[in-house]
Amino acid sequence: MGILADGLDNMRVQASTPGGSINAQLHGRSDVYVSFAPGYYRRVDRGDLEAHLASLARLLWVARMREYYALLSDALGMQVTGESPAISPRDVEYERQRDGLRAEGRASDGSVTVSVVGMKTWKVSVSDHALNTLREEEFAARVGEAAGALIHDHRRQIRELKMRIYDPAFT
Amino acid sequence: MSFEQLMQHADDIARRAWRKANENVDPQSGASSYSPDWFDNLRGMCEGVPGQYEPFSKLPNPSDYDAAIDMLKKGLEKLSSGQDNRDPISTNGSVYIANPVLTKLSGAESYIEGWTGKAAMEFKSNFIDPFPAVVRNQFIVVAAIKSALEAEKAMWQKAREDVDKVAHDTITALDNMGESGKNEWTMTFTVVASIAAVGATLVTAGGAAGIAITAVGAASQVVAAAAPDDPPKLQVSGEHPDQVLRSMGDCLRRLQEEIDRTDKRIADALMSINGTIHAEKDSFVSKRPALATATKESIKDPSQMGYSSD
Repeated sequence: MGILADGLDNMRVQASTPGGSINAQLHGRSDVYVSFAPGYYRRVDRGDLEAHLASLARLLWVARMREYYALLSDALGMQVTGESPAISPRDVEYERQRDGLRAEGRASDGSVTVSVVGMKTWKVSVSDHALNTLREEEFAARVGEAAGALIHDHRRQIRELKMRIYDPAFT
Repeated sequence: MSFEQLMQHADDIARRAWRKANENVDPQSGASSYSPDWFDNLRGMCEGVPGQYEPFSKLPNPSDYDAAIDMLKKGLEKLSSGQDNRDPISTNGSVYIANPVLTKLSGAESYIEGWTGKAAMEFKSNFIDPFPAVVRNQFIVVAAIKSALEAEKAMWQKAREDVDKVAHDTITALDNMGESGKNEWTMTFTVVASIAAVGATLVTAGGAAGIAITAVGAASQVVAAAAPDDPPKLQVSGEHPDQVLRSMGDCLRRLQEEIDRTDKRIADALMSINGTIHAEKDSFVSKRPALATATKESIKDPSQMGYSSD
């Protein structure tokens, strides 16, 4: 039986867009690294890039959750593949509000913004001049920065939501 | 993790719960999400965690039963008459080679054939004739006691695994609180399924129908048992450190109840067998032969050996 915290700290998952033009890796809880296939960044137009990054973010989070459930299964010594259905009104309300949470992460220079609703519907915005002014490595770092910020924002909101719904004062 | 580190796990749980509580702060203001009263309450709960595990850290060591089990195996060797010399209850050391000494008593019959005294007749009818049944019944009862010890051993083994699991699951639950899913887990009390009942039939000296007894043994070692009870489960949850610790307390309380219940099943089975032995004493213990009281002067009295026809 593993220790879940150690597993989450040392997690390594990766995902690629169909066709392999962009690759992303998640290290630990929130460190995201992005890399592009040779020549892709130079050729791609902004609309395609945003769509590809949004698709990649979705795939990376799916891979992350799959790995999370594998770690949780290992820690609990039993197979866990997802949440049990919400039955109590409190659980139903939690899931309803969680599915509507909008989390966002922005690169420090504003070049990339990643947002998501319910960790399902992803959107990536790239600023007008980012593609022209940032080198490939710089842009990749900005995407990773925005993605990391989104993960932190999501965790903060989950914490707040749990404080509201599962109020510790009432238990 | 293992049972031997149980008290270390307890300390770890208390530390982790406290740390997790202190991590829950507003990133902008740095203020805690919890109230000072809540922290006071949690401090008390954290300080109480080692005390909750302490009684479980003293659960008996399963290997402590081995010496007594081995001793009863030696008893079974002595009581194995060669007819049906297989342990009727447990698969642990299942076949016992016949003890040739036990054949000597039936061989004594020819020595007293020619004697006419009352005690000589009764020695045959009360002692020699029922002896195989008495030995057989003693063999079965010793097997039942041995399997009860094997049940105890299995029970403590599973109880240790269960309490270790409660500790481990609590640590996992504390680690899992920040995740977006509902933080819930299920504790399965395997101690309940560690033992199983198995029937055995005693032989009656008079040739009447056998007496059925119900023995208990380790579920993994009984020869044929009814399907063991499904181990009970307890689903618990906790989105805050105090809630996780409360769920842990629920699991520990339930575990103690299940251990007590399992222990009582073993005790009840032994008490019931004990009752059967007392009710059917002649089937387990040979009567004291009247010849045992004979003296040199009385041995040829008609009430004792009488006269030899030879």
